[in-house]
Amino acid sequence: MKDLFVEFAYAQLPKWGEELCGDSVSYDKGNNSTILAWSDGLGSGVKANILSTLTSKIIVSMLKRESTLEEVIATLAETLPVCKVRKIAYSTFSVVQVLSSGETYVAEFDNPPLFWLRNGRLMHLDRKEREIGERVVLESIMRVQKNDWIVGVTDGVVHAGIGGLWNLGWRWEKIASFLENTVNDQLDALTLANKVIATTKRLYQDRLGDDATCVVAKIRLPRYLIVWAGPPEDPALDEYIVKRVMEFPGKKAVCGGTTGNILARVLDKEIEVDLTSLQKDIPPVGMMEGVDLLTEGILTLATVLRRLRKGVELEEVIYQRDGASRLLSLLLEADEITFIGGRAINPAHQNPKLSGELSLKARLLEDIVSELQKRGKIVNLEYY
Amino acid sequence: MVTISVCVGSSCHLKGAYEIIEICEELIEKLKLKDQIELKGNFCLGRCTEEGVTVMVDDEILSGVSPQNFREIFQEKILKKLGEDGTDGSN
Repeated sequence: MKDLFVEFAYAQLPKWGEELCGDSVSYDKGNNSTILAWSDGLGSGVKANILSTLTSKIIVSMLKRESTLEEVIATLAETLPVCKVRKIAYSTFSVVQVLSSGETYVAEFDNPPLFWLRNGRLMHLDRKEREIGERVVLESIMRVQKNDWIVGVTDGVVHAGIGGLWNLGWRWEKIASFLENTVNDQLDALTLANKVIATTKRLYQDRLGDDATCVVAKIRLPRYLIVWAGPPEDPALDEYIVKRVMEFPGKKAVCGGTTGNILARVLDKEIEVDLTSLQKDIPPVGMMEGVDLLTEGILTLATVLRRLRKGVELEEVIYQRDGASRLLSLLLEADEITFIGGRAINPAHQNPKLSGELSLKARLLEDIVSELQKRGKIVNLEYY
Repeated sequence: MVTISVCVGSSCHLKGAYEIIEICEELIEKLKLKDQIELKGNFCLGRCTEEGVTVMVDDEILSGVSPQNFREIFQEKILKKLGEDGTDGSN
């Protein structure tokens, strides 16, 4: 069975009048498991934010190192500051750990129960009570599969509109049917989280009575991308690299004029340049059967790096035609990216009369890799 | 029919390939040569270290082309090839 991928996102808003949200979300993606935890701190504002941040971070970092839930709860009890008003060290939590096989462990403590959806229907979770250090925790084990959704909300969402638009708030059952009517295979995790929070805000008529957070995990197959940028130092490796790119199980992008020409030569195919994609600062893209994208090299990559640093998002680039936007779309859509960098030296780039951008080439790929890693992508970089 | 391929690799782009394509499109439009000239881009023609942009006219590779001298080259190389008199071809 193919490994599953957890697409994770969340959206939140603070209580009306507060600057900080008292709910916190933590997330860790390891080789074999993904852990997400969210917590609703006591009260609101700074104090709640600190309590919930500590809680969710402690849970994720301890479970990652294979601590037991007992150890985690003991640590929380000893670490969290005691609330002066309520005389307890307390913060709610929910944690979900998904293994790449689909095996999933859930523990919930005082948060609204999470929603598990398959084929647009709510699934039943068999929750078992367990008392750990004076706290009653609900535990469950399930097996998720492709296109399943796990959605968690804090009580600010469940109570949305209480005493105003709704007598009793949005309520768990109604949120469940909202989710059943909203999810589909094309929807992404962030869009769903945003929809839930936007609805929450509307129900409160913009003045939230409590911090509200929605956490979404969409289970799907991972999206792989290979990017070949630059010819290998040893031309004898040309054919090997072309073979690797073409046999790669995912999308394929090739950057660089010479690199593209090597590909065309080895495969004995033609590159068609799409002049309509030409822009003053970005050379046009090429098209070739079997490859998702062919671009020029250094200028396109420099633009990609600049825009990643500025925080570019997928929806800004997905409908653009130029080479940098198209490469950004592929990069932002992918979960796992392999870069093949070439060490061959382009004599034209040694010309001091040319723009300074060319001298950056050595560091360009490394910088792009680290920007993508910051965004949670798994990135491998190989040189030939 | 004449095929003009402008190199759109990094070096040529920085040396003005974009402007040359713009000028060329403008000339084709002005002289109504759409049916007689095919304008294409080409991924690196391997002449990056030479001066100027590399442009291929049918099978002939021209180096040292720039936005400044392209109109001249268009007259001398391309219009001549089409067998027209370039000087009054504007109408």
